[in-house]
Amino acid sequence: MSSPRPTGRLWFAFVGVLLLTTLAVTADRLRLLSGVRVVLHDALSPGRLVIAAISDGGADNRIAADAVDPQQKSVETQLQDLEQQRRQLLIENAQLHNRLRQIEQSNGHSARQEPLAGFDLISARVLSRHGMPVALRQAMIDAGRTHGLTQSELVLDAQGILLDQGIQNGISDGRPVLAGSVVMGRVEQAGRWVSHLLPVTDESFSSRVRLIRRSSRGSQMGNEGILEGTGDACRISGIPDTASVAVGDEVYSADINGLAGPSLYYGTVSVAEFEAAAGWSIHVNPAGTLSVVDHVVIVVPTVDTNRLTAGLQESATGSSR
Amino acid sequence: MKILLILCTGVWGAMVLEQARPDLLPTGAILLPLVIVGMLWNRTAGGVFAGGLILVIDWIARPQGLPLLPVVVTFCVVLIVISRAADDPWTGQRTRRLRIPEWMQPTVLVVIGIAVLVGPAMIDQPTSLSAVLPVIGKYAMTALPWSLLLTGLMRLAGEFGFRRLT
Repeated sequence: MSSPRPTGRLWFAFVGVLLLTTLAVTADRLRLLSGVRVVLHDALSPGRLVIAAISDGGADNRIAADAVDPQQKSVETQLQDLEQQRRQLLIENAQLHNRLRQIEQSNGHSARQEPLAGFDLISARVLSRHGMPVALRQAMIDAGRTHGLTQSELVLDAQGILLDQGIQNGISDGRPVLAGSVVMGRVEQAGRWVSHLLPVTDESFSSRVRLIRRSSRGSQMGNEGILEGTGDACRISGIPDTASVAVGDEVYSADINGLAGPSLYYGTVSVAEFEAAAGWSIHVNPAGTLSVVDHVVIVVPTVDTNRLTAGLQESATGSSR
Repeated sequence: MKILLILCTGVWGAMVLEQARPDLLPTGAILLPLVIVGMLWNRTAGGVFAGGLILVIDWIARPQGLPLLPVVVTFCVVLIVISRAADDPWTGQRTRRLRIPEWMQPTVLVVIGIAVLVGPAMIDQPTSLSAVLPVIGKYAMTALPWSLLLTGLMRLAGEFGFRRLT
């Protein structure tokens, strides 16, 4: 004699799955799952990397190569290079104006010093643009703690970085020319092999920025403020009421995670309205769109240890005298 | 413990394959038949819950709209398992509500699963049938043969006494 199956338990299991699903959806809406997601993708990464290596460099590259016309790609690359150079010249122009003003104010004494901190770049691929849900295409990169990443580092569009221009133009000692590169977001969660990004448009994104204005007298450094994501664009707060802001002004980083460094590009001012009661209402059209980017670079601050030890030795010698 | 290890390795492998070659294997093409056959192999509350849990974890790793797949698949599996349980062994009266041959059950569930995966995406972003056909074609080329193979293996395991048939 066979006893009937415990159908009640089966329904109980179904209710359990239903509850679990509801819990997962709620946690996702509350953005509590990004950490779990990074852990899951980390766990899958070893196998994924092995298969990608076996299968001839990955299918994404083939698809991308097939989809884009070489001539069109070349024109696009040239356009991006020119745009990058324009931004660099704009920054340089504004910095020169600023320095000239400072020198004039200090009667010819320049106090310019090389920055103590430098910046390293870590290249990463935006995970699986094909076949990955839209939300994840924009948020996951295949670089993590093993590559030297930590939380809150800035993520830039790799197409804007001119790695060899430094040597050719004698601008610097072969270090990457970062100025004018487009900021895509920030590392929100760094896993072992993959990381989760926070796009500039995200409501929890914020960064110190500086406005640069173009006028008949060249480009001028504007005021500093805080750039915050609004969901689909960005806004700037903290601009003094006395400042002058106009539509078309360009928005660059004031610092990189608190360190003085190259000016990175965020976008252009799309709305600038002044209200007597509330002050400036500034909206920014972000330049970077993660959903169309294949490769990114992460800016990792490094400290010039030689200068630091030299400084420490000097101070030690000074105190011994 | 051995079963758990095999289960974890199988699920990990399926998820890895799907993520490494999304151009060949659309979401769920390997994992969905594996989970469904696993649930029907086990036919217990624990097995059904474990299958649902795996699909929820897969949704967490790759969120696409609402996670309807774990709920719908678990519900259908429970209906199928219960319909078998409703056979009265004393009178011989069959009160089966779902009259699906046993060998077809996993494939039918996979088709339902694919419809749940593809359907909401089509409603969200209305596209022409010609745009959706390649995706359906990929599912038909991978998920259906894979589910038939797994069903065959399940039957074979039953015949050789590796699996309880009742």
